[in-house]
Formats: sequence, structure tokens, C-alpha cells
Amino acid sequence: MARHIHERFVKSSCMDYILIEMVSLVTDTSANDEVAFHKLEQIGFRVGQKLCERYTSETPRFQKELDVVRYLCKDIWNLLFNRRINHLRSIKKKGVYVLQDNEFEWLRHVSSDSTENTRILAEKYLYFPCGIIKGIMDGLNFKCYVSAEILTPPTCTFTLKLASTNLE
Amino acid sequence: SNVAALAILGKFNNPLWLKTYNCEEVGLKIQYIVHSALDVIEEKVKPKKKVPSQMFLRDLYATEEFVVYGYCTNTNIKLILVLRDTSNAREQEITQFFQRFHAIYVETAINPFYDLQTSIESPSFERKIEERLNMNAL
Repeated sequence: MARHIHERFVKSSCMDYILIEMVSLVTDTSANDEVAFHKLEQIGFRVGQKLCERYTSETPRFQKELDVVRYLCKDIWNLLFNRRINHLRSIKKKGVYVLQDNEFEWLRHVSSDSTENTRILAEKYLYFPCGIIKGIMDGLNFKCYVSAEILTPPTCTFTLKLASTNLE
Repeated sequence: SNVAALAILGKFNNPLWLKTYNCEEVGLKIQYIVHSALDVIEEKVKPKKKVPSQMFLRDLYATEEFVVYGYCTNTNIKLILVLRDTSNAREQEITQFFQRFHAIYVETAINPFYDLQTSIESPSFERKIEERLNMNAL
């Protein structure tokens, strides 16, 4: 059991390091913020699609849109971060869902003062998970647009806007 | 064995992989069979009707010599098995086969060098399928 905890610690540390380097490399090689967002989102998107193939192979088919979002909040978040989304708000008519995580794993080591600078810099670390969410939803045939916002690190929200042309 | 063909079709019904076994008939006939199977799958997975909770869709249709079985994953990847009439495989064995087939597909899909929705050309994929066919007497 102790070994399992150590393994998990090593794995999550490695993930932190690679994420730091990835964000740093992409922002250095991008002309501006938009381009960096797009690149990191694309990487996340690809990862998300593959994760979707792997994890949904063991679940029964989904009946409704809300089931899919719930699956994302509980099971996927559990598999990736060993926790669940704390709060899910939805505006069904517009197909908007807001997922709030009070202790997002990849923001845990970001300094927690809420000055504008820290928030702007730290938001870059959310582009990749936005892409992952987008990729997972795409794998399940829901086109969506994902954006993220930091409230006070490590609390952050992910906003999913599902395209209206999706089938119910 | 009694397996005539195996096929994997992607989200947009694009063929990702197709293999025929011991088929004297031209590959075209098998392709036609697989294509017709797609229509049946679409019927079964149509969103307006009650969506089946399982991925295994059981037998889709039968011709004089073949029975076609289908399986549709959550990501809309379709796996198709064309079995000769001479096979007396039970539904449970076929379900099990499809589950293994799905697992082999997933292993290829998560490979970072494989682009999803493109044709599968991995030798290790072929090898695993061969092993699986040898193990399961369908």
C-alpha cells in the first residue's frame, strides 16, 4: 500500500514537471497567447480523444448529454486526478456546463495569492486540461468549446459550451 | 476456422481495417456485406429511439452463407464479424470475442503514433488478432 502511494507521488510529480516544461516551451515558441492556447489545447485534445477510447471501453452506452457530463465530472476526474468535480452548474437551454474544482491537481503548486499576474500566468496551465476535456467530449460525439478560469488557485472552473447541433 | 471476415469502421463509417479469411469470393462481396451491416447498425444506434445500453448489438443480419455480428463502441467505432453458417458459436463466445477485439483496438488507439480514424497498419495489431482468433474457436 505504501508502495502504491510512492508510485502515485512519483507519477504525479513527473506529470507536474512535464506540464511545466510543456507550457514553458509552447509559450516561448508562440507568437502570442492565442497561438499558445491553440497549441496546448490541440495537444490536450489528442490526449483526450485517446483517453476517451480507453476509458469508455468499460462503460455502458450513455443515454443523455447530462450523463456524459456527469461521467466526466465523476469517473474521468477520478481516473485522472483521484478526486471529483466539487460543483457542477448547468444552463441546459444553452447547453452550458460549469465544472468547479476546488483543488485542481495541476494548480496545487502554484502560489496562492490572487494578484492579477499570478492568475494570468497560471491560466496557461489550464489550456492543456481544457483540451483534454474537449477531446473526451469529441470522442463521445459532443462538439464543444471549453474555457477555464482561475478563481483563487487552486480553485478553478471549466466552462463547457456544447454546440447546439449535437444530438440529444 | 469459421470466421470469414473482420472489420473495423470509424466514426464516420470510414473503413479502418478489413481482413478476410479463406474467402474464395472476391473481397468486394465481403465489403458489400460489411456495408449493408452498417445500415443495420445505424438503425440500432439511432439516437431518437431508446439507445441500447450494451455495445454488443447481436446478429445484424444473415445471408445464405454468412451471419454478420456487430458491436458499436461509445466512441462510435464499429466492429464487425462475418461468420460462416457452419459455425456453431454461442452468443456468449461471440460477445467475449468482441470484448477482446475491442481491447485490442483500444491498445492500438492509445498508441501516440497512431492517428485516430485512420487506417490501422500495425503489425502488432495483426499479430494480436491472429492470436485471439487462434484462441477462440468461433
